Amino acid sequence: MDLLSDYSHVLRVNAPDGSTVPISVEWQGETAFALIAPPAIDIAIHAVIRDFFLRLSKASLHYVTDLIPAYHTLTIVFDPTAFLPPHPGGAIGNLVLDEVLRLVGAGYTTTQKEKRTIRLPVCYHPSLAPDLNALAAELQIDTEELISLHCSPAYRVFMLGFVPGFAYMGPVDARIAAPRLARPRQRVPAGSVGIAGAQTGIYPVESPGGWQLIGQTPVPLFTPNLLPPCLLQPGDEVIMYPITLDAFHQWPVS
Amino acid sequence: MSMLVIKKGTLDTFQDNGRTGWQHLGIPVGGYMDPVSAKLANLLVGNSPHEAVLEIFFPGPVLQFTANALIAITGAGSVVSSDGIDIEYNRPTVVGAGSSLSWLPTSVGRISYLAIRGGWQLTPWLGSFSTCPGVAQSGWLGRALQKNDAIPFRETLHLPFVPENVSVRPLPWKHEVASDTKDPIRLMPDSQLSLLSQESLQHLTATPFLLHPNSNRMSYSLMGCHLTGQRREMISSAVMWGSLQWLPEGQLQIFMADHPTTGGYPRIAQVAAADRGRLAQWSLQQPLFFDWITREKAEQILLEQYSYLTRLEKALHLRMVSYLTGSS
Repeated sequence: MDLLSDYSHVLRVNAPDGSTVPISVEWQGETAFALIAPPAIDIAIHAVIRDFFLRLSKASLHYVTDLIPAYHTLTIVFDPTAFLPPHPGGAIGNLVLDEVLRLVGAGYTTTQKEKRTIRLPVCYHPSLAPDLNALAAELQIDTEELISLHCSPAYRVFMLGFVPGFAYMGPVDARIAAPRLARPRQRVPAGSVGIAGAQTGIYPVESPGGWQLIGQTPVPLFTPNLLPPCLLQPGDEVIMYPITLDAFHQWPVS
Repeated sequence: MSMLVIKKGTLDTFQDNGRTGWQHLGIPVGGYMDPVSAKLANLLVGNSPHEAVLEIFFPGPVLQFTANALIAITGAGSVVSSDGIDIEYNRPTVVGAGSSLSWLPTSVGRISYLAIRGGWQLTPWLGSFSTCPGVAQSGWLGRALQKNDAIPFRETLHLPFVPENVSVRPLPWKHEVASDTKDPIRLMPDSQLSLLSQESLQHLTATPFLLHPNSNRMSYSLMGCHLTGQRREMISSAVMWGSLQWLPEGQLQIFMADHPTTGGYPRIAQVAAADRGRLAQWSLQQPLFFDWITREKAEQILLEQYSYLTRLEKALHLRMVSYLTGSS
């Protein structure tokens, strides 16, 4: 049996920066496939992925159960049993793929209105940042500089994963990119801000975790009874700004 | 009118079909590990197939009912009542107030399901009753059952032909779903299969694997042939229930119902959705073989499974109605 079918470069789409991005398709079993841009941690590539995500969300296809954007991929999960009467084997998957390609092939449609910017206060006090001083020493920069480099860029939420509401953001300035801890912590408090490689992220709930912790936000990122329960969404722009320990403890300011 | 936990089991959680539509926020689907057994339990007591059931891993719990309940048990293991009566699997059974049920250890299969007519009083989250352990939501208090939990059920039971003070009363029908438990688990190739060496590609379907005892609702770890090939740093992307990850040490890990939504290891294959339940029930001692299946065939067997459950729902509904109206 032929193990690998070729769906490479089924589509070329325009990115907002004017470049052309080739898109391939890879099946992930019989109930999902991914639209795949060239592998990169890159804001222009991600804008194309998010554009697909928004467009397919709006199309509300009744057979699609999940749309999962990541750095350079959008995975479309569908329910073949939503099609009745029965079709010949494989026909439903092909139908879904054709419809998805038709929808995303029409060109970039995300508007400026669909851009969200979220400002998040972060306290970088060592009592809330167990790895801050050691990391600064290891990188041979001042703690102050590390903090300022961490909160100067506008980050992009590339993907949510690991636990509900955990946002993988980046890119982080190369001068403060840091490896994961050799031994992950059993317990990381909710709100902890970490660095792993060129990514930064915030733990939405207490969980185990291996990212180097350099601060903490008082803003809840996961609120189960809100809809949606997660503050950050794929494609959001996030700007972090430093606050004092007092401001952290008094948050929200009364 | 509740179910009391006399002794907790390894992992007793409420599950339904899962929580779809939220994976873009990192919220896992969850849901029952063996969908066919779980749905069968519901259908036997006349519930909707989407009602929550209790999913039980072995060693299992001891559960007591404070009022008469119509239940059905499916999946692996065996169950005995406090009066020493064996509870027959795959058969609707009335369990009387004060009776308790013990799940006995098993070496065949891993998971049992308990359904109760009318279901339990649980709080859904994002449209599902499935327990979401990472954020402690839904199911029963967002966690596995513990000793002394008392979970209320929704319906008072009034059945004809069943005396009020019954201890255990099986109803006069049953239904089993045949499962070829020893057949290979069927795989489709995934993105990074081509990274495996030719030799390891052969080994994947020619040599047996065993499940590691720490296999759980999040992932099953496989012990077996060390797979080699071309290692590559991956950028994380979405993973599925049934994604085979090729770990850095050369071993395989299969994501199960509670898997995180994204992963960063190479994915070499994907388990056919129709085989999820068989894989979930795979006994620790039993060698596991893989075989390839085409996407076309996998879609076909999934639709056949669905169509079978739809017909079963109608048939078992009619059987229950005929019993309730007195034709016994």
